[in-house]
Amino acid sequence: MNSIIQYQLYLRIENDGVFILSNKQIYDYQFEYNRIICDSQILYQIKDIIYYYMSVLENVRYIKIQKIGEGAYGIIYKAQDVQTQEIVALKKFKLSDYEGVPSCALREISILKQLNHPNIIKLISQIIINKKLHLVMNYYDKDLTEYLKFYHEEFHLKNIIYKILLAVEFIHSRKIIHRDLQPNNILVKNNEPVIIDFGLSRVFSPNLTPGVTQLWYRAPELLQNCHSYDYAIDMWSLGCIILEIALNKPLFMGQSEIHQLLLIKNLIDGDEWFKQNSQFAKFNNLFIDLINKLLQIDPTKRITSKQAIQHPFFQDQFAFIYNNE
Amino acid sequence: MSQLEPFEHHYSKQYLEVFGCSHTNRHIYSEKMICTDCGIFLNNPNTKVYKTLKMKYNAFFNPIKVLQGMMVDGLPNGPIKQRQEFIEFILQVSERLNLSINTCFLAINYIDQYFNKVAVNENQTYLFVSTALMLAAKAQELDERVPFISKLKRYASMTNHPEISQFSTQDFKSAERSLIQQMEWKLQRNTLLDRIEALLSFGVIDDDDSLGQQQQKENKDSTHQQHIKLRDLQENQILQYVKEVESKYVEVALQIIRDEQLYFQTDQTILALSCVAYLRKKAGLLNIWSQQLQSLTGVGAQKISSSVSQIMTLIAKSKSFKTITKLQATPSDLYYQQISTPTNNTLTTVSSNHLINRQFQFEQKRQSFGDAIIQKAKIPLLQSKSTAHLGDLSKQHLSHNNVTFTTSNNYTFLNENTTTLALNNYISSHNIHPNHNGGELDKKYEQVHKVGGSLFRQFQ
Repeated sequence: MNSIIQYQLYLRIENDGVFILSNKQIYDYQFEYNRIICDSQILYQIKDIIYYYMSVLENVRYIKIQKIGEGAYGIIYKAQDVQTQEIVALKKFKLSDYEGVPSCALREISILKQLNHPNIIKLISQIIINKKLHLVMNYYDKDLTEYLKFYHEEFHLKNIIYKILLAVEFIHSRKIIHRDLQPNNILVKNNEPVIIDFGLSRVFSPNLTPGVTQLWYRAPELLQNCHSYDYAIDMWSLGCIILEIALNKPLFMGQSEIHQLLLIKNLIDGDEWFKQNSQFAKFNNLFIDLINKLLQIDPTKRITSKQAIQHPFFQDQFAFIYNNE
Repeated sequence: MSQLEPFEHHYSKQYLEVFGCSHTNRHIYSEKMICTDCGIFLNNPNTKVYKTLKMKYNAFFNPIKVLQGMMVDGLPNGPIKQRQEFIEFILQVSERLNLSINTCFLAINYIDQYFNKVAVNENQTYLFVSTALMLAAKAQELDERVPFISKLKRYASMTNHPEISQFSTQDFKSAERSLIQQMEWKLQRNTLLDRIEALLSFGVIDDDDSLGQQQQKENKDSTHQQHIKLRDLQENQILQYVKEVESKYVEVALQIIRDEQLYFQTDQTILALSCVAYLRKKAGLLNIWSQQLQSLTGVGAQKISSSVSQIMTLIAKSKSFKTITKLQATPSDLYYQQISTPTNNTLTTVSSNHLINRQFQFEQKRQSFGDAIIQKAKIPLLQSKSTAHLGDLSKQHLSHNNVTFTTSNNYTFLNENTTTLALNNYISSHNIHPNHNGGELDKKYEQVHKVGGSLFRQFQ
């Protein structure tokens, strides 16, 4: 065994990342800066090799197990930390490296480093693998969409809504707008939500790009191409998400920006829109009031995250989403 | 003096017209009354506070907490060798790349820290300085404004440092990586400029402030100085003082960050507060500190007085240096003489507008340090607009538009032919900015020094 491994070590230098075992090339690894990445199928087979490396080079750290998601800016992998056996999420930035570190990565890292909150994803570290920047974060196996596929007690749902609002208030109070709140960016573990993906977030400034947030959760002022929006766009997304939790399906499923606007205008018409709609009839009055305040077309009338956590719906511990009759 | 009127009468219709917000929606954050529409701090129900919409911030979240987070004590790292050249270089390149002045301050902050910790090979220094500027842009500019390495290289080598074009993209990338690692990814920072802006957004002038008579009327036998309270003046006279403060802070901050002794040996919070105090003094107010500022920041006048006098010496120094090298009757001086004639117009701020990057909520395009350069091409537009302002004083509440030459309604001003002789002179004075970038920055600063100087003479 020992002689084989020495042979491999030697070959690593020669062929940069191609391991040869018994004169037969069997596995391709990405190998860079002393870190090994490989597919899950072969993970077991090469375990010994990797652990040997660990003893030789201390910073062989993460092994990718599988791809778990893909966003606009990056691909997310489930990976294992070979030192602690801990399962982590690795976010690889897709953007080419021609222009140095992509600005979305730069912002995500420097913003995440400021945010230390139980309901916000924790950035463990950032590393460079195969010349690509990777973020190492805690791993959660379910996002909100998957979570809602199963039945959950109402107090869990209410707790999730409240914790999401707390986290968003925490973000906003640090002058940061998330700009991409959607169920896929809210992970759930043990009925506690965690907000992820700060790739689009940025520190508030009076002039911003309108093309942010996934279409279904995009606020009307963004759909109208407004360049000077504020924290209220996150509150609109939250309104959509909270109603999605209650209805168990997305609220507005537009196919284009125009279609999305049309759906919004069709549903929200006048101050009493929720009373005319039968699907809201079973909801608690306080919950409806919260939704109504979040889903205001006019961003200046929408409540802020701070007002939302003080809303009577959360003060009254017997108020749940549905009327219990 | 004891006017116990309710707020609503206080902030009259006239106030609304001149200052753009009547502070009707208020909220108490951390025991302080804040206008949620514009973020002004209303300390005492008996005094009016002034600021223009230029300094508008929506106060959805406790702005006092934001301020406290920003006003963390501390000294920057430094000083470093060749710092003046680096700053000059950053300003030049950022102007060409259309980046805001806030980004320049951030980049200066990065290089101060980096060069203080790492010894950089001498022929590579400007590689690192230009990369720091790119990093600062990546950290806070809109994505479409972030320069590509190729563009950065092209524009950076158009300065006195053509050697930058020799570096490869890979060199830039490794410089960037080294910078990021050295700063541990902490790229979002509060610079001196951010601190001053945060303070100004709470409103730093109120009607309890006083000013000396002779500064107002140029009275020849003003041996015994008469104090006037701002509350005795008309709203658009007060606007003049408010604008004076809100338009000069970038220049003052630039002067301070260039001065190693002052910048590196004074606590950043104290420095920002002293800047505000200095700006008040420069605008003509007699009391550099007020109850309003005292209760906003919890800092008393005695804590800042020494650094205020340091700022005064600093700006006086740069002024005397400039007057030796320049003739007395420069066009900018002429311009200032004209506007100090008894008419109560308030355009003292125009010539420095191109330095101002503070943008407004309703603005469609971000105004930046570099934008103004592009706007040089549109100079007739700018002029006719200023004309409209001089000709029609009732429009003064609109004059914050002065700094936004970009919106489409600019063209409406083109039709107003109210040009005066004085204005023609002003136009010719404004044309001293050449269309290319070469010596422009220098000219600009000379102008700044002139202004600083002429005001300073009054204090001596």
